[in-house]
Amino acid sequence: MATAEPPAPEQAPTTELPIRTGSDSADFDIVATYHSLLKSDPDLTKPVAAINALIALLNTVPSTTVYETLDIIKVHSERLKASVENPIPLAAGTDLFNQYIISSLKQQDGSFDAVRQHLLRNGRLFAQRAVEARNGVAEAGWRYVTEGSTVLTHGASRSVTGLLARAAKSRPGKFKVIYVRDEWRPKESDRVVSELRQLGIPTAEIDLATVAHVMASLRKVSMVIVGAEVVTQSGGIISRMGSYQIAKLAKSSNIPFYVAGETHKFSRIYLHDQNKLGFKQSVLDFKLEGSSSHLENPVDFTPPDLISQLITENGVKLPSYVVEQILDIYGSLNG
Amino acid sequence: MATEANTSAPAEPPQAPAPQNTQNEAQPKDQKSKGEQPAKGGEAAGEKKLSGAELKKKAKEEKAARRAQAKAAQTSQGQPSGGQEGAGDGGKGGKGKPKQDGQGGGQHKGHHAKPVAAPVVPKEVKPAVPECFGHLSMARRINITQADKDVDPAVLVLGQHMSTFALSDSITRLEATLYAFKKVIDSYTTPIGTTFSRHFTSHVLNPQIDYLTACRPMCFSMGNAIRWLKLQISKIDIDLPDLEAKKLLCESIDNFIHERVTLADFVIASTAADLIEDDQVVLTYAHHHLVQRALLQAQEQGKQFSVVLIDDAFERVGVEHSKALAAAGIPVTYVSDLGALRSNLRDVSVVLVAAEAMFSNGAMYARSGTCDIAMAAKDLGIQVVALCETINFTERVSIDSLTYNEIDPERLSDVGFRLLFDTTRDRYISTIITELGNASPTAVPAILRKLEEL
Repeated sequence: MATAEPPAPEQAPTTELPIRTGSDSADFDIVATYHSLLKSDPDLTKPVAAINALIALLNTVPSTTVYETLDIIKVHSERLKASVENPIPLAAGTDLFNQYIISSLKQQDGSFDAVRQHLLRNGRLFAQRAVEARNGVAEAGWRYVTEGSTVLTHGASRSVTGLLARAAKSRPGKFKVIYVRDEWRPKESDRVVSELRQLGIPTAEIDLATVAHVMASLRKVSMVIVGAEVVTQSGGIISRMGSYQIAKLAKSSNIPFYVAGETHKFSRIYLHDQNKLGFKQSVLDFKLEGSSSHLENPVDFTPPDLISQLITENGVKLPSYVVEQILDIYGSLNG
Repeated sequence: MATEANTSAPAEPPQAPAPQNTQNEAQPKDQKSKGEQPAKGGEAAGEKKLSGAELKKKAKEEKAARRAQAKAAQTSQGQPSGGQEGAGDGGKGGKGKPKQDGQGGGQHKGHHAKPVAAPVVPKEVKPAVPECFGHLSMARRINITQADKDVDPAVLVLGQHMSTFALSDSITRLEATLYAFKKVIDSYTTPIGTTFSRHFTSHVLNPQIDYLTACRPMCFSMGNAIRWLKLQISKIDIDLPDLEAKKLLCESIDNFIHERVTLADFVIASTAADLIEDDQVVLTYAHHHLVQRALLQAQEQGKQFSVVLIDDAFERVGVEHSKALAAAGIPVTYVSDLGALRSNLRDVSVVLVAAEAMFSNGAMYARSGTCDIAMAAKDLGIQVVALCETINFTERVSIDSLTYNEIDPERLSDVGFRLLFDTTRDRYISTIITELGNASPTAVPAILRKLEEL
């Protein structure tokens, strides 16, 4: 799908709408659109990229009836989910979009065209809001990084770096960061560390094996802040592999564990424990010879009882805030 | 009558609590039942001639006779004295009050409806419940002849079933109550000069509720449903003809049962069945129809799992349950009681229990013994899943097993008594499954708030 490649892809297809009217929705490559969106705009998170891909889809498909449109969205959402290894983050986006359409249809008394026009005209709105939400997270949470504190973090969450950047602006040089390196992603780790150092934040690098040692040394770590791919219904998070481990260690050392995440990452998924993440992830690769393979993008689940607070654009909330929001948006707990 | 009793009281030497009980009991009842005023007026006038002391004496005798009669009807029945209940309930408002009114009123009315014959000399064999547990209520067998004359036959039978625990779990009781109330509504005709919405609740529905409460304290779901029903009745347009009002009400009761019980049970059972995976060992306690349904459904889906069933040593409802599961082809290990709990839990992957009610702080009110299992399971890192319809959710808060509970009427003796329920704190529960889906126990207040909106 070359047409969807420019950074502002929604506008582009809109102009090309007449050309595409003849084509069937099956021709639309939602997967390619999603990936190109994700690549083209570093500000896009997975849920928002999924929403934008769906809007691009609506642009290309001549809408007829409400039911048909919902059906098309459903089919393509499923296709998109099936195409990636871990579909949970983008499922949060597609669910939200679906619910948005349904609820705006209810509000508009079923005038479907109005909703559709509004969506197409404001295709950029979701992405904008996502950026605003990230700034909101930084704004809500930066005061938690007090003077003289040391923040431990890992992964490459943009909400976390945004929050730290915001804190560095107001308290330059007044706090330090311990960055936990990812053994399998040296490049990413280097990038994050250099970003932090450029912001004027004194940054130390450790590996995952050192976390317990550092945390146990009295007052070396004041708090942990991590990002999340998805915030589950119970207020737990699905996040980069290692978050759970760090959360457990933080709990046993009585160090507050904060999660910086926008509310569009809230998902209806409910996890009982690590066993069922909602998708297949085979971490264990038993072998007799040869080197063990490692996963491309492994995640784990941190249960809500290990999380002190969620830093969202609506303020700093307890994990139970998520279920209230989910009930507000969807009216039920599970899809 | 109430005022008489009050004026006579000061003349009395502050005496044994029994007469004051009658006074306490008489008060709320008389205030309520204005409908019977004419009959009572005559009676009161007759009584007025008696002096205060005589009045008290008479009341005491009558009460003793009633007790003796009740004793004769059921040997094992205990007597958590009304005085204690009055004292216990005096402080708290809310649902405690109707319960108290119900018990007092039910008894008292019983006596009016059928004046007691020969006052048997009462040999008070009352297994006393210590005062600190006086607030706990208990099911009691009320002789049908002692019931208020206004109680509908269907409700009379239902009351007997409840007091004998033939209907025991909260959802079955709720369903039966609503069906009985439908019959009451059906057989009702609004008297001339009044309207359905103004007359029915106070004069017809309340006596039924009082009687049911006297038979066995209401469970939380019944309280919720009755509150809902009264609201529906009050909403009925006063100009609506009787027939249509009744039809409307019966329909909404049917819908209520369908949504909050039938569909809810269906969703909960299938959600719980989805939870069970191949090669798991599911532990469950005693018997609950939701758990049974969930397990059978998982079996139907072809899942290979086994069940450890721990039975309630005081009520062997698990025997039939395990037979039913085994008959369906599920391997069942039957354990007769809570002994060796830890070793029974060793290979278990999930504990599946059903709740009688959920408190708004996430605590679970369930068959006593559930808490022991949940605590041990949580300690071993096993997830504890509670099944509960949202109609059983209450906005009240409980952190112990004594604030709300019921005494087992079969096991009340001079040396001790047994409680029917216990409270499991939220930290020992991993997941609750309701008709809205899976949730963590901390989500209960959010769900309650959502239910209010609906």
